[in-house]
Amino acid sequence: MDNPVFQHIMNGDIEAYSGLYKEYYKRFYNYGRKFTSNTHLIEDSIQEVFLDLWNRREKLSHVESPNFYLYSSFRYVLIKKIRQHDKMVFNQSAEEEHEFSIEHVIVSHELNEEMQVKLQKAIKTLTGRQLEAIFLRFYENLSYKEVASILNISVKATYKIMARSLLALKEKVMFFLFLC
Amino acid sequence: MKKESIAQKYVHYKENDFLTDPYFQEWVYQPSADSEQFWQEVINAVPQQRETIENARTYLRNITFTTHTPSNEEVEASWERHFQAIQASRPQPAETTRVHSIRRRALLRIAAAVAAIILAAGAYLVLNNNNEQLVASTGFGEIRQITLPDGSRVDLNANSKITYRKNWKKGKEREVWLEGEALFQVSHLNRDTNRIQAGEKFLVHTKDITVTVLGTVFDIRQRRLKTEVVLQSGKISLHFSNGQKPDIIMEPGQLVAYNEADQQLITAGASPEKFTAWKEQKLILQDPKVHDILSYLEDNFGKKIIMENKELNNRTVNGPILISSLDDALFVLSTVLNTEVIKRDSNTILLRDREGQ
Repeated sequence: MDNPVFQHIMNGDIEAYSGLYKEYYKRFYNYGRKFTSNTHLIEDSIQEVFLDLWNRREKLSHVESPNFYLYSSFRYVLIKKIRQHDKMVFNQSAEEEHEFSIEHVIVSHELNEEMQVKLQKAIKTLTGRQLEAIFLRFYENLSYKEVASILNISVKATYKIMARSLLALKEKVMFFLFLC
Repeated sequence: MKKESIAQKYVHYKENDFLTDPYFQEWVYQPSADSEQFWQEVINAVPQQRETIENARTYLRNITFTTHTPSNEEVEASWERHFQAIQASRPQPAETTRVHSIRRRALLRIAAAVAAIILAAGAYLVLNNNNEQLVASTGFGEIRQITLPDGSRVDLNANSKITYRKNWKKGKEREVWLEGEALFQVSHLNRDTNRIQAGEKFLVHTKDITVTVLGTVFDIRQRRLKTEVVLQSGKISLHFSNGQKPDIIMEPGQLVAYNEADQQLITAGASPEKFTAWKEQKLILQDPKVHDILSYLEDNFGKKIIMENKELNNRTVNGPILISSLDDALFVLSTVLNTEVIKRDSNTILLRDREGQ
């Protein structure tokens, strides 16, 4: 348990909890915006992650790294919500992979023009996941191991989503049987 | 690592291989004596890579990310919503009454937590304007759950909006304004339904009707010129804004539909579970004509849907329709009606009879 604030929360200390919520709200808002500009989805995801945290606060003692726990839950929930939302609003590009967007990478203006162009090109060869790893590791201070497992979790999530759509398809087939 | 194996590993590295190598990143962002020594060795082992390495290093040092910062008001508003949600998820006092004597110790602990919560809430009230309005809305195809200041829950269907005051004072009527459709689960303030105090009332206003509630579950669907109310449990009364119709006291399982155009009022039996099936992303209307289903989909997903063969509009399609997405719903419908779905442009969808039938 590396975070004393978590200890307070387990004891039901609402003031400590409020501080933690607000701190992570800012961080996750920033992180989430790299995936979507829909702030409703980000807000809903943060609410969901923290409601779950609060409801399970008495069982948190096994959580080794609260920071990792929160980041991985948030990423999982947000990506899930973005996918659901795209599906529902009939988005033509719904098939696209939801990744950390390259448009949020800034190239320093201190470089000379030639290097700026080269760097822009180099960035384009990186995947969203690779950029996200840099962001999490060096801007959000997660450990290398944590970053790796956060990005792995999303792979599992993809399988879950696939399983769910198969289930939906089955439901449809049942409905036709019912009609005939 | 030996010099040869280092050479072997890094001789074929391109710029982006270095960029994505965790240990290389480590060296650039958080250099240590170890990493410094290691990468110097690499440069010595494969001098032809010196420029690539230096470029990669410059690149990494010059990458940053856009910062998105929410305003303080957004952070505070979000915390307040969350605070209400965790309060609402507390066990209901009514349910704990019976176990008082057995769980006295547990209760004492709960009491302490509640006191802390009330204190924090009190401090917050002082700092905030009491009359501020909160708005919760959903886009096309989106469903949201909202917890109101008194712990009542609202499931807001797609393309809908509720407005309510930020702070609800005890002893004052609780009021919500609705456009679109929502399912309300209202918290009880009093269990005696025959003696409703003014301060225990919960009011939902649409443009034509006001629903007065004590504590109950009901669905209001106000779309275009029509308002429909279905009561699942409890007791509510309806008041018509134009004063032309007398108030109606509704019983569970009843549906009241009012049409603004002809001021027609219909009362019927309804299955509340079916009416509110949208919560489970299914659409179940009562003896729905294709025309009704298409109107519903238009209202909820924001697309214009044109049925080419007008005769089909009057066909009845029973059974649940999956409305998790417009694609899903149209797929089911078009299969039943034997039409094809043509996306004419981004906002218009055409249903056309399948040829050669």
